[in-house]
Amino acid sequence: MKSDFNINLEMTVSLHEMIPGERGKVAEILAEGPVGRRLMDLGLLPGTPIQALRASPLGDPTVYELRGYRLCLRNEDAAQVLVRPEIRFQADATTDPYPADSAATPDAKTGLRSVPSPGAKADGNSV
Amino acid sequence: MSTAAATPSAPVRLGLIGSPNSGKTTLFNALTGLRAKVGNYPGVTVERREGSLNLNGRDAQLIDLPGTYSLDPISPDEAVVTRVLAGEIDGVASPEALVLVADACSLERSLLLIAQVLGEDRPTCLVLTMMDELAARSGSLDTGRLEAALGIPVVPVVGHKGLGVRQLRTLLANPENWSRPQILPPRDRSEQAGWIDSVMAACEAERPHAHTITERIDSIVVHPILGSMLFLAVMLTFFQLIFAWATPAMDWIDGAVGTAAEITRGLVPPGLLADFLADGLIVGVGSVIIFLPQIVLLFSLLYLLEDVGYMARAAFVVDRAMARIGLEGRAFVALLSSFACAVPGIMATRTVPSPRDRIVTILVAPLMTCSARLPVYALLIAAFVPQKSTLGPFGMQGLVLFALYIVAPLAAMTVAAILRRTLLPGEGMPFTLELPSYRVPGLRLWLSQVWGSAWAFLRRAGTIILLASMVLWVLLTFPRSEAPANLAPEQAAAYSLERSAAGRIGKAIEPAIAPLGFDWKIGVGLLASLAAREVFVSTLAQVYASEDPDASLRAAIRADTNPATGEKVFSAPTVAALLTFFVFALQCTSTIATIARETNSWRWPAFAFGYMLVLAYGGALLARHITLALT
Repeated sequence: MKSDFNINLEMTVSLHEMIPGERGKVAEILAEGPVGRRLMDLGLLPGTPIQALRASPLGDPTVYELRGYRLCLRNEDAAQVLVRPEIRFQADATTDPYPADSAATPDAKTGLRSVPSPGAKADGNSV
Repeated sequence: MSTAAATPSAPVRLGLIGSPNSGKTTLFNALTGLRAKVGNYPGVTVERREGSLNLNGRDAQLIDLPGTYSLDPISPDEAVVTRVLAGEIDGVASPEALVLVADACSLERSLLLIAQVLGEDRPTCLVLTMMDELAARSGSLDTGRLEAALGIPVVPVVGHKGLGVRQLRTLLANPENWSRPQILPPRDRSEQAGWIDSVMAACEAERPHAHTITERIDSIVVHPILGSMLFLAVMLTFFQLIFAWATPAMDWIDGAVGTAAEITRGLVPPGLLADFLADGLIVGVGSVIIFLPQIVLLFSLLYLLEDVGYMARAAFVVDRAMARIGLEGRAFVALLSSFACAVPGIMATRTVPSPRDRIVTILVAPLMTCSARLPVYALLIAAFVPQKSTLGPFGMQGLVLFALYIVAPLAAMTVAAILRRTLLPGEGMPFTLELPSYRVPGLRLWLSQVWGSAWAFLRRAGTIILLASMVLWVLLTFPRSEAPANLAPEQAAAYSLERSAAGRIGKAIEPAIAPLGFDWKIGVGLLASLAAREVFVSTLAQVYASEDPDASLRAAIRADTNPATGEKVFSAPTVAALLTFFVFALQCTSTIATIARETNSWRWPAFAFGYMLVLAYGGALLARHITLALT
C-alpha cells in the first residue's frame, strides 16, 4: 500500500496569498457589513473548498474556482477572506482527493504551497 | 389563492430571477422572442424588461428582474428586486409566481439565492440552464431528486437551442399547481452551507470537471505576454471598427441625407416649408441615423465577444490599470469607444454592473477626443498653425493635434479619480467578475442583442436628438429677415443668420465669452455646434459668408478684425482658447440625450454639461493667458 497523507495544520492565510494552483478551504470572512455579506453571497462560506487559478497579467485581480464557477477578486477584497490551505505530502496520485480536476488542471499538483520539508516533492513513488 | 388562480384566463405575472451569468437573459429571449418592453425602474439606472407571452392559451407577463446574487440588497439599485417582489414600485405589480434561473454547472453557488427566494414563500419553479455543458464536463445531477429536495418543480433547458422550452411553457401556464416546499431552507447563513451540501448530496450531484477547452484557451488569453498582446489587438480592432470602418457607411448616410434634402427642395416650392423640410427635418433625421453604423458595429463586436466569453477576460486583464483611476476593467471598452464617439461609448457602459462605476464612466466618456472634434481642430490648426514651423523633427501642426488628443483622456482620468473620491465614492462593494466558460455564441441571441441596442438608441435617444436639432434649426432661422436684394446668396445667408435668434443669443453672450477673446460670431458657432461639434465649421462658413468651408473660410477667419479695436479676432490667444474650449466642452446634444436616457434622469446630463463647461471655460481662459504671456 502506497502511503498518502494530508496534513491540515490549523494555519490560515489570506486568500490573496495563495499561490496559483493551490487549494484550501474558506475559514473565515474578516469583512463585516456589505463587503462580508457580498463575499458570502458569492459562495465564500466557511468550509467552502476554493482553488487559486491564476493572476491577471498585471498581477491583480486573481481568479479563483469555487462552487463550480470561476470568480475574480481583487487582492484587497481577497485579503478579507481567510483560508486554511491544504498541505499535501503526496505519494500516490491515484488517491488524489480531487480526482475530478486532476486531469484538467495538471498544474494543480505541482502548484503546492512550498514547504521546506524533505520529501515534499511528489515523485509518485516514495516518501 | 390569488385572483389569477380563480380566473385562469387572466394574465399571470411571472418574475424571472437569477444571478448574473445564469442564462436568464437568454431564457427571457427564448420565451418572449423580440417582444420585450424595455424601460427603467424609477430613480435608478437599472433596466426594466417585461415581455408578454402566450402559454398554451393563457396570457402571461414575464418580468425579467435584474440579475442578483442575493435578496439582501446592498445598494438602491440592487434593492429593485426586493422592492418589485414586495410590490413597492409604482406601476410594477408584484409577480404572482417566481421562475428561478440557475446555471446547472454552478448550481452549488446558486443554491444560496435559491434558499432566499424559497423563503419568499410564493409559487416558485427552478429552471436549470446549460445542462449540455454540465454533461460535457462529465458532471451530472438528478433533477427528479433535486425537485424532491427543494420541493419545487425543476426544468432543465438549453436556452440557446430552445431545448426544454416547450416543457417549461407548459409548466409556466399553471403556477397554481406547482408543488411547494414542505420546509423552508434555513435563513441563517451559518446553516446555509450545510443545507447546500445536503441538497447537493440529495440530488446525487457530480461536480463538473474544469472545462478543459476553457482552461486551454485561458492559458493563452490571460497569459502575461500573449494575453496582453491579444487584449491590445482586440481593443485596436474596436477602435478601428468605429473609427475607420464605420466611416464609409456614415459618409453614405451623409450623402443620402444631402440628396434627400435636394430632392425635397426640387419638389417643394422655395420658402419656409422647403427650408424646414430640407434643413430642419431631413437634416435632423440624418443627425440621428448617422450614429447607427458606429452603434451597430460596436455592439456587434461587443456582444459577440461577450457571448463567446472574452469580454470578462478583457476586463480581468485591464482591471488593475482601471483600478488606478477608481474604475474597473469593464469600463475600458466604453472609454475606448468614446474616442470615436461618446454616444455608443456611453451605451457600452451597460456592461458595467456597479451603478456608481457606470455613472462615473458615463460622466467622463464625453471628455475622450471624439471624431466630431476633428473637423474643428483641423480648421483652426490649418488656419492658424504655420505649416512650416517645426519642433525638432516634428511638424508643429501635428504636435498641436497630438497635444489636443492627449490632454482630454488625461483630464478624463483625473476627473474620474476625483469623482470616485468625492461625489461618487465606492459603496465598499467588492469588485466581482465571473469568468464564464467559453462557448460558441448563438446567432439569434447575438442578432437580437445588436438589434436591441440599435432600436433602443433610435427610440430613446433619437427622439431627443431629433427634437434638439429642430430647436436649433428654429433658433438659426427665426425671426426671418429679408436681406437687401443686392446681396449675393452667401451674404444674404450671413445677413439673416446675424438677425436670427441664434445671432442675437451670440451677441447676448458676447460679454460672457469676451474674456476668452471670443466675439458674437464664435458665440453663434458655439451655439450651433451643440447639434454636433463639426457644425461649428459649417456655421462659421455661413457667418463669414464663405462659399466653401475650406480655403475661403480659412482666409476669412484669418482676415477678420474686431471693428472696435482693429485687432485680429482670431489671434493666437483666441485660437488657443477656442481649441481648449472644444477639448473640454460638452458641445453635443446627442451625448446629452444619451446620458439622459442611460441614467434615466436629467440630473446627470446637467452635471456633465456643467462640469465640462467649467473645465472648458477655465481651460480656455488659462490657455489664452499662457499664450498672451508667451507671445
